[in-house]
Amino acid sequence: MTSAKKPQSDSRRGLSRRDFLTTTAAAGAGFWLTSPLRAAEPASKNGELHIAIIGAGTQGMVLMQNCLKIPGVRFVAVCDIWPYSQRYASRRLKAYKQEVNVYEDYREMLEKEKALDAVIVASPDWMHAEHAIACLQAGKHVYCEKEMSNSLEKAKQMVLTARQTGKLLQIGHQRRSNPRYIFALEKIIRDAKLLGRITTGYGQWNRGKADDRGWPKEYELDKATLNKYGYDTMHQFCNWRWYRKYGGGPIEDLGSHQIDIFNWFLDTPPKSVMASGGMDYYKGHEWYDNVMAIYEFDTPAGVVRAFYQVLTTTSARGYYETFMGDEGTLQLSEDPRKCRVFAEGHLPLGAWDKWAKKGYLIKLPVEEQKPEAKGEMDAITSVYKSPPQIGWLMPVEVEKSYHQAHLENFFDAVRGKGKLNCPPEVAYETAVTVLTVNDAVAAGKRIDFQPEEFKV
Amino acid sequence: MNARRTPQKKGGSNSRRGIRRRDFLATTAAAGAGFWLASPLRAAKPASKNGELHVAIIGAGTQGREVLIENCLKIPGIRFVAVCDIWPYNKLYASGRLKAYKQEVNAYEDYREMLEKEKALDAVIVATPDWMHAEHAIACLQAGKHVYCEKEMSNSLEKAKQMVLAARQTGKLLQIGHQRRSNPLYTYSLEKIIRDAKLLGRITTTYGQWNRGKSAVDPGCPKGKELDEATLQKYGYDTMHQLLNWRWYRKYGGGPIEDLGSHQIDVFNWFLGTPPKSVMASGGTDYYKGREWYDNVMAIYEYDTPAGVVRALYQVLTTTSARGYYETFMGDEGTLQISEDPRKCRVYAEGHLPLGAWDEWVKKGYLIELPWKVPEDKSETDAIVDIYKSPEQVGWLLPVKPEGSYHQAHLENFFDAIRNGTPLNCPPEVAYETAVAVLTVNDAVAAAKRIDFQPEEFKV
Repeated sequence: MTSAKKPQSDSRRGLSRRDFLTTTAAAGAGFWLTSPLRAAEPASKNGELHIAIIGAGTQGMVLMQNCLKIPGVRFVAVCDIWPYSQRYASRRLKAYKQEVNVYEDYREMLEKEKALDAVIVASPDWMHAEHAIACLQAGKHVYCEKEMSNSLEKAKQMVLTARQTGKLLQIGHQRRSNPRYIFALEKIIRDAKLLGRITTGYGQWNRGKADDRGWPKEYELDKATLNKYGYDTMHQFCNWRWYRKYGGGPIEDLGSHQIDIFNWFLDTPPKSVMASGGMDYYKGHEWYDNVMAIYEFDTPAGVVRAFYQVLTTTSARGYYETFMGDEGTLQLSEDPRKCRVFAEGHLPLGAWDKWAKKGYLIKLPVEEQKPEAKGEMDAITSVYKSPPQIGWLMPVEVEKSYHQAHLENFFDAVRGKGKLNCPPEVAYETAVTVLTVNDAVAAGKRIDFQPEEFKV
Repeated sequence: MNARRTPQKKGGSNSRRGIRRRDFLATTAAAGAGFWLASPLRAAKPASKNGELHVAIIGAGTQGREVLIENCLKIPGIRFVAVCDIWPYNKLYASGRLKAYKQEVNAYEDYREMLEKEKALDAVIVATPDWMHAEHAIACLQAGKHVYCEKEMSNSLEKAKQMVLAARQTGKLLQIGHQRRSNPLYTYSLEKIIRDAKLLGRITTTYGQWNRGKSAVDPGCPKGKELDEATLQKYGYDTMHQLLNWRWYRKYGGGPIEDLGSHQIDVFNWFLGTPPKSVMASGGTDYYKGREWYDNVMAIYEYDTPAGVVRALYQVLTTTSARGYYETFMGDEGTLQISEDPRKCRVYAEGHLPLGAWDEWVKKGYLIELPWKVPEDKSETDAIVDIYKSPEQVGWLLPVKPEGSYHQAHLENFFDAIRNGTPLNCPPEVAYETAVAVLTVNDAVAAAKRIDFQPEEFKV
């Protein structure tokens, strides 16, 4: 199968790329820079925030579980179209002494739960816009899972609604609140400049082969309910990530987290992307199971080329991101043990010792710094061969779980104590960057971005 | 600078190769169809004089002198009788080195003179800059010598094709220096791990990289050893810098993707048993000043294999040494990481395999088990991570200890072919497939779109 035979993802988004470019340029030019910071609103009732969740599936439960660790946050409602999830979530909350009202229809919930401060949206991607926009318009702050949407047009509406309502909208790119990522960017890259000039980025999420998700037969939704909510089958509902109507495939589910880091750390969205992908392995999936993409970024220091791959047929080396400069390399991951900084061999001995003294780095024991094998001289190798890289650790202990810090950032912002780490304008840039990969696979050629495409 | 803006005055690589892609396709399809399969194995020739092979080298620079000569000196029954180089410094250096091993050689500036005078030569090693490979190798073949020629066959596919044809027409052996083809780590991995035990399952993805730090400096010239301008011009160079740093010039070489990438992209073709069906690439002369070839290149290949599509990423970076050089083959049951550096060679089992699934292969001697590893930390449950999270991969070692150096085995294979009729591990038809796969990367960078290969393109 070649990628070119796949249906165009543009048409699925309900707006052609050309239309989109026109619309964006007309509607959004200049708005981003002038958009004021939203005023925070005081928290309700004795400082406690009352929240609800729409979409209490597996990811919703991760967010709920994290909220339960945060003081002063109280669930008052759970909304899900599937009774199984409603029951699971509300029982879980009851165990933490948080009695909630349960809803199938988010409209009913918004109508009845007047005292809500914020809503967490963790429904399938294609419903994010509808749910988030309704909540914002009902005067609620919203924490919405990434990807903002599998449609850029819908994602744009989310940005506009947040702007129009003045309510907060945090998108769930949770690495934006990860202390290790923040330290790496602020201290290692920007302050100490340990990487020198960054020329290359790399990211991967390799996940071993897995079966599609099943469901308890006794909780199967009837056909009428499924149809009412836009699904034909229970399989679609439970495995929406593989369907074009409901999601963007692994590049969106997994890749989005890491491609967001490229944009964030390089401080600019890319100027181009080319990609290869295919439905080569799994049967009955609509999205590419394996995707490789090459981005080019124009940074003040020069061109940066970044490779990203998401593979769902192998777990080789798991997930991490790497930034390579002419003086050092930074490897980052949500897995703390994958985080390392490496010095290029041409640096003078002891060049980074001062940074260890200043507390920027932790030097590893010498036995970990094995020299390269002295196998043989190869002309190219011997003339140019790079001395071995030496790994250093970053002095950041992360006590909290991945999502907790990002949720706390949201609740702090609701309380007026800080700015959002991932406002919708930022997440929109990432959505454009990520969703265009699927277009690039279909196009079979490099797609050049216009700066206006990233703005709303 | 992005690839698109790379100055066209340097010439698209197509025009530089003296034949445009379209013409080339037509020519190849007409001339070569069906020939590849029908080409017979060349008959070996008995070795000369009491079993000793007499060899010469054309191009005694760093690769020729420090690598190929040094490796030949470790192989019994090989005797150098001549050295040819246009630079007196190299001639002197190489012949002095050989003298230390009691191999007195005649030194030549002109390979034609050498071929005329050295009638008793069995074989010639060609280690000149890439753009001269065809001229030198073809002349040697036509003079009745077997040839070991460094990769890349040529930086021009038209010239590479002429090399294949000359080998065929003369019936002489032509081994191309993709030395991994003779590396026991590689042959073991392919034959035992991938094909026999099928430990990787279905291979879906391949990765290769050669990351070299910027500590790389352009080779300079010892004071007073510079060639005069007339001599340089005679041999096609404008400056001493061009002669010593030919790898960075479009006229003389193909850039890092050819110098370094060629070795590893060759392994993709070899292990997957087929050349690719398409390539797209990004590259640029973004970092170094005064170099004509892309300093950093990333290429994505697609392969059609009997088991399904395989997607392969290759990157060559000359601005960072992150993780050095290695290749990885990823399947749905396991991953093979392989490199000329033996310590980088590992096999990993996917976590969904039953515990002990590979024990039988350890017992059979296919793998060496490593001490048990600490599993991933369970710091948090993330829905996606949690549902699908792959258990920590367990690494296994290959029970292969390469005795000689990288190039020695490949040279030995060449000399065995001369003496005993052993098949060459890298005959020109095979190396030509690799040259097409590699050189097209530079075209793909310029084109900024996927280039689809026709199967005939790989045939001569």
